[in-house]
Amino acid sequence: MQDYSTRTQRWIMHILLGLGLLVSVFPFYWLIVMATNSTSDIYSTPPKLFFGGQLWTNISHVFQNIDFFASLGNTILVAVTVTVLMLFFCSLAGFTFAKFTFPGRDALFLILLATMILPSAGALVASFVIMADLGWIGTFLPLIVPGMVTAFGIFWIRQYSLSAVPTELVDAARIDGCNHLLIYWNVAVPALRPALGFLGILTFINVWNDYLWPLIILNDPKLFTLQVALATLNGIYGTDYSMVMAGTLMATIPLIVIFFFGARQFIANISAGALKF
Amino acid sequence: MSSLVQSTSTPENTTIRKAVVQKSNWRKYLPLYLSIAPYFLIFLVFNLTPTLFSLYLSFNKWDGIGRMTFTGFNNFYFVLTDPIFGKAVLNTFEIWIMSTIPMLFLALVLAFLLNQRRHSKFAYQLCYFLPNITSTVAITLIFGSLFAPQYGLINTTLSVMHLPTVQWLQDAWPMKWAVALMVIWRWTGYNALVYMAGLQSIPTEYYEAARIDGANTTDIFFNITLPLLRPVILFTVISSSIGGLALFTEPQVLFTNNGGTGNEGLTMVLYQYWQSFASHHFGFGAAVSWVIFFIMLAFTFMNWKIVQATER
Amino acid sequence: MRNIKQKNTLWYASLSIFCLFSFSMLLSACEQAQNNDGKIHLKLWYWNRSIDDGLINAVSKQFPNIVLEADKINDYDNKVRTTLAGHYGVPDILGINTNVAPFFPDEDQFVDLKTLGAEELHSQYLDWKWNLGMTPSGRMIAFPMDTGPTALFYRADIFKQAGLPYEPDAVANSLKTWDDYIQAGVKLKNATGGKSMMFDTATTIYTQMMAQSSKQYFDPSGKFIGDQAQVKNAWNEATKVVQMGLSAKLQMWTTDWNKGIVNGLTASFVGAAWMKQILQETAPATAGKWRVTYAPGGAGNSGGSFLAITKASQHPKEAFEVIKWLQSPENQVVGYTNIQLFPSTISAFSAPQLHQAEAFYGGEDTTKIFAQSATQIPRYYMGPDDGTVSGPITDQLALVEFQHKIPDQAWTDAIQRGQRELLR
Repeated sequence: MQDYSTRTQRWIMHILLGLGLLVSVFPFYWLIVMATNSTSDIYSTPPKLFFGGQLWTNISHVFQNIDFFASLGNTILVAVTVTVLMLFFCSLAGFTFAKFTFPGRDALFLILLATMILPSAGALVASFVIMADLGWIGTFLPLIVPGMVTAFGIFWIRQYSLSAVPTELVDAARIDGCNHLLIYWNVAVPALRPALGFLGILTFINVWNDYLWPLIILNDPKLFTLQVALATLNGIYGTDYSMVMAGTLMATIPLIVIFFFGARQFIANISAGALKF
Repeated sequence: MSSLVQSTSTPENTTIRKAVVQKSNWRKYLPLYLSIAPYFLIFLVFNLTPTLFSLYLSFNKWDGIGRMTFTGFNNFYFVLTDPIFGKAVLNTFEIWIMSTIPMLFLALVLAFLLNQRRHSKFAYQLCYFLPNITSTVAITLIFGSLFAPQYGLINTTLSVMHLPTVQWLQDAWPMKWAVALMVIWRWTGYNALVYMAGLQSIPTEYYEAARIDGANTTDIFFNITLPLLRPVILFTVISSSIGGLALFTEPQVLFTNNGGTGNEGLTMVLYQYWQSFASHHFGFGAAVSWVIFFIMLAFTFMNWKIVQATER
Repeated sequence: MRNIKQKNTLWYASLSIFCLFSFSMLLSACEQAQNNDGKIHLKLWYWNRSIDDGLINAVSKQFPNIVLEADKINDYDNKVRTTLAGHYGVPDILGINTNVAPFFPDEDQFVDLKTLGAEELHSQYLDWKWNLGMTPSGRMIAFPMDTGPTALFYRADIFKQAGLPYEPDAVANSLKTWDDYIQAGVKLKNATGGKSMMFDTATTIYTQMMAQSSKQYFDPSGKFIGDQAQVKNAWNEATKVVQMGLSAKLQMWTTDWNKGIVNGLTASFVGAAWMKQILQETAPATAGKWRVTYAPGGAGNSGGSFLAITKASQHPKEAFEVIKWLQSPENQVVGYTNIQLFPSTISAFSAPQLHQAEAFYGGEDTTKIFAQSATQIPRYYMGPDDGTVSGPITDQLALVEFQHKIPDQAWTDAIQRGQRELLR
């Protein structure tokens, strides 16, 4: 195996990657700086760029003002439920669109794409009324059921399946007499693991950060999700920003954990798809 | 599907065979339809009514609480003759070009480079993804502070290096660049991850075979990687088109609802939000969102065609 | 065979999904159980720091047969309008911010507080504030909560350095009109070589002058008066500031503004009482250097909030008792002491708790100024479409200040745009 890399190429690559890293991380770093200092430090000139000692103070302010762990638990419950449902329904549908032919397939898929763009203005009230009629206001159901399968997720899996799921294996499994679900489980899912990893991360994060809809649906602070709870820390006239930053920092940590689990799906195979430089 | 059966048969046989084939067709297709049904069901129950309501609303005037007044095409007439909406559309496309194209390109390069690495892949991936999970509140504060014209970090650095400062939040093009830079910052890592996932699906044997045939990295990239990655690339183009045309968070964060000085940072969806939520004109907002829908539909369709056409 | 193992995994997966699902339904169902204790349950919606939490908790002690469920809500307008439109889960008592006028067209969604005997309390409250909760048809839909009387905040040390009067009384005497204020701005700029500016932005001049005006953009009959003298004067003064180069060009609510306050680029601003808190949090390093005095041009109001009772409430009388108690003079003093909510009851102004020597302002008792200002604010009418007209004006003013647009052209465009938007 010949080594095609020249030293300059490698150095350029390192520099580019490193620069990108710095730019990506800097705001997050600054977030941590703000969370560990006090609000007046945030406004000081020159701006404070190093960690302070106020982290525990700010965190305790957060705990005083909102029921952090309850809302954390609520959010985990909703996010995990939606993610699991999404992974299943979107991959099943996306795989089916990609690898099978049936009457109306293309038309249905185009309709699906169009629904991704459909406007939702005014939809808030209509959706609220639907939920009210179903008796679901004040429960988690409006946060779970409408979002448990999305056009976006189906689109993603379908695109991914086109090249990732080997048609020969699908045909072979069909000849073997497997029903559709078994083909899905045995052939598609293993091939889709990187796509599922990504979709899982994405869905989890979207549900985690969802703010407007839970705000409208939930009234009981005991049921609040994290974003809604954190938003109550904001004042109209003045906000204790260091406290808010500490709160959002804590809210971001579970996302990093989830990212770890999801991203493993597409680092796992070190040799797959990789070119030796 | 049943054509194979019909070719060699007598009339009576055909009828019987057709019946048999149609019955098994139904059994054959049922699991497929069931697999795709959940989405359409959810859509019908939870999204169809709101969408129809939104359509109905666009022909009315409504402040969100009281009664609706029917106004016919008034809302549509207003938005289509509104110079500020025209500006918003123009801004949106300009910012889209300035942000999405470099962003997707950067993401592809990044994904490719990252995939080479054998060590600390996860650390890099995480860092590149951090922008996407940093909270909006934090981003508002941080980027507002970075781009502040007098004491912001960027301008302070520029003046230290004796370069002219930029009025990021007051001059027309710098405002757009500020938004574009924010979008690139937030979404490059995300799209790089999409591409990385896509790269996983390409078997290494293809590369090894190509190497044996004497191909170099550039050849492999353009002849193997890119074509096989096309479905995923199409996905990112479509979703970036939709996301880019629906740009809302970044300009709102930097400029508040009216898109800043001279509305230079106003995008279509921000215009819609400004005019509906912020001014309580929900009927008008609905009309605007339908106009935006058609614009997005046309643009997305065009992009789809372009990517499909690159298939030789 | 492998298939059996896969079948089992599938089964376990579906079982766990089902469990998660039902668990979440159960969790939500638990909350429905409580309301059978014979007491009256009232729901209140408010936002952070709009009402003192201690007072809210004390309601059940004051009214043993009432349970007040107070929910802190954010993104207030969205949630309120959606809920009112959906007619489901509407609270009994609603906090309303300065933007009470946009609710006037929907006045039938709120109880007319006069029918609950509100008028007997009228004399206890500032008349102009009381009036703001009245719709043109005479319905009282909102009860006074806190207010935002304005005054001049200024850096005494910078004024002294520039040779300007710097003691509060002296400053008030020398800055009686906005023109006086602008002239002082010229002096300041020259004396400090531009290092310190009198004004943060021209927009502040405009909004604060409008805040002092008894006429806004509409009269109670709905007639448009937004191109008349009161608006034109404010516009002219603001553009004067731009043309004479006296503005620091630091927009409010940005980090630049904060920095300008800290390092002295901004030497003064006219602001409401609630700016005190913001100033103190933003620039603790400048403690002792600020003073407060009467604003040029007279007394004005910027901000302030209200409480309303929704038509959907099953217990309007009890709700009103709670509101009366929460906004009694004694409790408004508590609100001031704890979270700096400036009272709307006249007797609260003489409470000793409001008159302290404040170190941040060099030992000055600033409430004296704000209270005096509060009693002198003229009666004014806020119309539901005020924002539609004022928005384009401030937008055009920003163009004048930051993109060198010609003021006359900007004025024409502003009025034109406002008129156009009113057609929607």
